[in-house]
This record gives sequence, C-alpha cells and structure tokens, in this order.
Amino acid sequence: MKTIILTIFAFFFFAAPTSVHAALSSSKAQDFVESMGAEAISFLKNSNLSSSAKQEKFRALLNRNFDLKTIGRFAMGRHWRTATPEQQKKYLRLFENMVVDIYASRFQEYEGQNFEVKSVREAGKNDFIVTSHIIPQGGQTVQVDWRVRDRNGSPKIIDVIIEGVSMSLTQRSDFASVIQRGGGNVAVLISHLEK
Amino acid sequence: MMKSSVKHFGLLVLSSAFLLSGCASSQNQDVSEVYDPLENINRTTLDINEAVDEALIEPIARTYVERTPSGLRTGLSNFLRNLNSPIVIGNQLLQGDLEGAGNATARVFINTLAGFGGIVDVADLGGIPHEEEDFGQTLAVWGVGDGAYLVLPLLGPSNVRDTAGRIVDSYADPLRIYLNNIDEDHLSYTRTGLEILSTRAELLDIIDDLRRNSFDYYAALRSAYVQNRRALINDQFPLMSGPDIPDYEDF
Repeated sequence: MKTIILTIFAFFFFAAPTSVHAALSSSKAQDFVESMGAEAISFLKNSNLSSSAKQEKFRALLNRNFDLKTIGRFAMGRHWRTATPEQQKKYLRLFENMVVDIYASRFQEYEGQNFEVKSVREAGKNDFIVTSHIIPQGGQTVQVDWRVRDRNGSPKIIDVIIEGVSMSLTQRSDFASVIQRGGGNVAVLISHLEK
Repeated sequence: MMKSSVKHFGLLVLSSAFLLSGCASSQNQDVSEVYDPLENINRTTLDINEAVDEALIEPIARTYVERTPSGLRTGLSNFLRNLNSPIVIGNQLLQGDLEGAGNATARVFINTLAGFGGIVDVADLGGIPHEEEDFGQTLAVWGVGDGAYLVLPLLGPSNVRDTAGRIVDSYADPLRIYLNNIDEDHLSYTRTGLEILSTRAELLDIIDDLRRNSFDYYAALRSAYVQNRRALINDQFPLMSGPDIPDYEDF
C-alpha cells in the first residue's frame, strides 16, 4: 500500500512539471518561428547596421532560440558515450561556437528572399515541425522545416531541415565519418573543431 | 565472342546483385549508415568532380547568376521544368498517384498556355505546386531499395537504383525521342546544358555551405543526398521530415 501511495506521489511529483513544460502548442510553435524570421529579416535588411553588428545580433538570436546542447549531443551520436566527461564538455563548447558561426553565415547572406511560414504539425510526442518557404530572387522556392521543442518552458529550435535534408543529421554523418576514419577516436573530432 | 558476352553478362548480374544487396537496410531511417561498398572509388570520383566543378562549372554558374536578372533565371528554370512534365506525369502514373498525375497535367496545360510556354509558373501561383518525380523514385515506391551509393562522373551523388532510373527517364523522354526523330538532337544537348547550368546556379549557396561547414565533405554530401531523395520519394511526407531527436536529460 505504502509503495502504491509513494508511486502515485512520485508520479505527480515528477510528471506534473513535465506536463506544464509540454504546454507548447502548434500555434505557439508557429508564432515562435514567424517572429524569429521577422526579427532576423528586419535587422538583416537594415542598411544602417554594419556587418559586424549584424553578425553580433545574429549570434544573440541563435543563442536565444536554438537548443545548442541538444543539437551538439545529437551530432555526436553514439560516440558521445565513448568520450570522457572532459571531452564532452570541451566538445560542446567548441560545437556551440561552430554552429553559431555556421548558421550566422548561412542566414546572413540575405538577398531579399521572402520568408513565409506555411504550416505546422506535431512530430513525435515532444516536437512541432513548422514548415516555411524561402522564395529567392531567382530560382525555385526552398522548403525549410524547423523542429521546435519545449525546453524548460520556452520553445527552442533543435533542427533545421532544408528540402528534406536535416542539418543535424548531416552534421552527425560528417562527424561519424571523421571519428571513424580517425580510428574511432573522439579526440580527432575535437582537434578538427579546434582548428 | 558469344561466350565472352555471356560471361560479361553473368558478371554484370553478379555485381548488380552485390551492389543491390544493401536494399534491405535502406528502409532503415538512420541514414548515417549508408550502404557504400565502393567508398574508395566514390571518393576518387568526387575529387575529380570537384576539380572539374571548381575549374569550369561553378565559375560559369556564378557568372550566369551575376550577369542575368533574377526574373530571367526563374523563367529559364520554370521553362525547363515544364519541358520535363511528360516524365513527371508518366512517373506519377507508374506510382499510382492519380492526383499527382492530374496536377502535373493541369500544370503543363496552364503553364504552357497562360505562362508563355512555361516561363511563368502560373499554376503554382494558383495553388498547384510542382512535384519532382523520376523513375528512381518510382522504383523506390515499387519497393526497390537504394542499392550501393555511387558518385557518378560529372553527375555526382546517386545510387544503383537512381542511376538506373536516370537512364530509363532519358530513354523514355518523349521530347528527346521527338527531337531525335526530326534530326534535331542538338536541341536535346542544349537543353541538357541549360539544365546543368540552371541547377548548378540554384545549388550555389547550398554547396558552398556544405563545403565550408563540413570536415568530411564526402560524408556530408552523401548524407544530404540520401536524405533529400528519401524526402522526394515520400513526396515530402510530413512525418518523414528529419530524424527523431532524443530528449537528452543527463547534462
């Protein structure tokens, strides 16, 4: 009897906070991506800002809206478990810097593209995928999907999927190959990140 | 003579069986494990392709983007897409996608008549977007697995199934057959050339990005190719968008 009460107690104690966290809804996820896009475009096309000021704003935007720890952890794949705690720490720090650089350069080359949020859907039990279209000045529309997850009460992006190509998964394949070709040693990847 | 060609055929069948043996694993969603038994040859081919691209194709594509107004580039891209419609419609039908075939048929009529021969994608503006189809995708819908990953000389990433699909599409293309019959093959070559130019121009940013931001470009490109094909095969089926990412709690 005591165990049952304890179990029920434990269930509410631990389950309740997560259900509050899972309050992310499809409309919230959509608004989140929409306002982030609008914010990014508003400063990217502001000709009064220098390019270093834009870069700075972009970094802040990324740090605020992306869950870089989850992205980094996923990119390391199964090799995470073979890394020492020091290596894990070092890796995450280097990875976060690199990803911010990558995304900053990826979205900084703003050339008047249109950004339109088209739809949103649930993915798995945790996430929402917000589908957007980026319409370039010359050429065909590009579909970009944003995987949004609730992290401690606020929505965070954990993956960007361009025409079906997940940035996280591509990075994971890249890293896996580097580690594998380096004889299964995580240190090889870290030394690449340090360069 | 006869005997040796039989022997060659036997070898071909054997090697195809070997290259296709990765089929079963292709259903696995984790594309970080791609069946790539020819990796060493593929890496060499990619190196050569990269050299050719950087020396010739990429600079031409860049000049094209710099010197041509964006409206014209979109127009050419739409026009080439419109020419490819018979292939799209045929493959939609082979996949049993009647709605898709209907949409593609409506698109070719609307865009050819109201869109100045396909230069303006009026159908897209009216809510019938383009869907890319080819025989490689049809084979996949029929249950054929990817087979071995291949890097084709000049054409780049592919696999056994998609290479077969490419060959079938180009032989079955009514426009190519027609131009061949009236002895205007040079128009087919011009079209292919323009397709390469237009496609490479649209991929400029994406390839720059992948080259710059990967440690092992070969592995990153292979992963991107497999993911993109999978999305196309599933017609961008919502649930297939990207991998499942675990919820890591032990930081």
